Amino acid sequence: MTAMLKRSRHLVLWSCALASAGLAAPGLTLAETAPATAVATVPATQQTPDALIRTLSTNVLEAVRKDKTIQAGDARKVESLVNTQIMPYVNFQRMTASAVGRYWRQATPDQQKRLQQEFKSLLLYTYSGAVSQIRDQTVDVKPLRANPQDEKVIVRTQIRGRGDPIQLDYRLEKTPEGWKIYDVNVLGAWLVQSYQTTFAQDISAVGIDGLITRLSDRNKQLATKKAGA
Amino acid sequence: MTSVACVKRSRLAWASLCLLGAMALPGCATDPNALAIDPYEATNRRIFSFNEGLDANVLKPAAKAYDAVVPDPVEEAVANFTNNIKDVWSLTNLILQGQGAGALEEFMRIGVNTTFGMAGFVDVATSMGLDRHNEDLGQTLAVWGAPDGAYLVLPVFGPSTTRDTVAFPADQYVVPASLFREPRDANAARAVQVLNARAQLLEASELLEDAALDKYAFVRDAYLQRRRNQIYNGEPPEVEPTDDLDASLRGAPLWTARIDVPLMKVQRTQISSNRVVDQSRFFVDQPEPVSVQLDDTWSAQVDVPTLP
Repeated sequence: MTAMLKRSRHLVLWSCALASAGLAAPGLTLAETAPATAVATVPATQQTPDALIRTLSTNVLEAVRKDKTIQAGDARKVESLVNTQIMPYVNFQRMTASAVGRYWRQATPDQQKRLQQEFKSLLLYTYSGAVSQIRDQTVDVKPLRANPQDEKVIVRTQIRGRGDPIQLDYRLEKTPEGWKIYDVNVLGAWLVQSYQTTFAQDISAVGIDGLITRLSDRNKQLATKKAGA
Repeated sequence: MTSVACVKRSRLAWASLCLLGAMALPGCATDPNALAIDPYEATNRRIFSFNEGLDANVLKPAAKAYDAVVPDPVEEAVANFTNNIKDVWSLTNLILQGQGAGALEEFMRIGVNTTFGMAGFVDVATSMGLDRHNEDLGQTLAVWGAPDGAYLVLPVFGPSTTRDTVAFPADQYVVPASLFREPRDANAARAVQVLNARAQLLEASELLEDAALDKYAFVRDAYLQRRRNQIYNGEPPEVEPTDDLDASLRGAPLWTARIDVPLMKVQRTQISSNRVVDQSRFFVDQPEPVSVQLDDTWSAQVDVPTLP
């Protein structure tokens, strides 16, 4: 039982990961007092992927540390934090398409849009729970091992805090607007792959519209839960 | 002689079959693969429900009470002590796997933590840069070549695989409870270890509830990925789909073929691929010949090429 729950710890960080797109301060920056609105001096479109992760993490980590309401789990604050700091650097369409898999091509554009919205809401709700659990962790971004001409890279980071260091990896792809995250790995489990089976089973059982309904029901459930909490 | 004809009645052969072959995403754990790794799904689901019930009714309330009473530093100390004992088992397995550098690190961890860390209650080694290697007999067997087997959910203990279940008695043996001779003390030690671990995961388990649509499938997929990750020590060979998704996002088929069917009356049409979605579009996971059989009178075969 505890073994299974140990596996579930990764959920804490999926949210941390996606929400903060890499809580990366290179190693030991607990004592750093960066200004609250720290922004990278190099525009994001020109940064290397690991520098991007590091920048995003620094920004988000600072924001979370300074704002106690986020730590208490204020869903709205977390959502605005995620929307401003992280969403511009995440390719949600690709993430949803990968999770839905081969049925993506069968979905109408309207269905695709709704799938994307619902999936995004689901992950946002999961985040607000996980981000509220950030205390004083630091993130260690590993050196990037990729060729300069690679269009897709994996950035590996580690979260250090209480207990064992936790592996946190990101898949990024190069787009005209810069590098974008399209998958996250916590403790060895990739987010997209972990949703693929569930989505495929649901679609073959109740169709794409059925999956959209299930997702939106779950989101409503989570919304009332957060509002009541 | 073939000719293109319009389909007027369902008994007539189709005028043409346009086959859209597209590679399904490799690594996509859709139904065929899920069944392969989880042949005992029905039983597993039942045991999973049982475990969930046990957790909700017994373990979680106890862990919450434990968490409320025991201060965080003490919980951490108990966890560190447990990990130090487990490090001995990790060391054994690292040696068995032939990981010399890891074994040396682990050996130093045990030494440092037992002496400077007061018998393991303080984790000095991690702050010195010596990270834990989490090795067990299941991973050793995998490195030696044993395949996963089937996904199994063990009562009380949760997700596992056939191979890991074989290694299970050994992996469960090296714990602080083994230090105690009296069964009563050993049981108490085991209870503390379990409660402590559960208490530290209270927040994470709530997130899991929120995030998963189907908790059973979610835990299974995440567990199997994590296990693979552990076996390869954080760098598993990647099975990422590549350009087929880009093509699908652009909406273009990767490959098409056209088969002209003769005008004839047909009782039965058969397409020999078990992944037919509908009669004009289907998805192919790997190159294979696709054949169309119309009764016993006419057939054609097309080879789907290897797609990038």
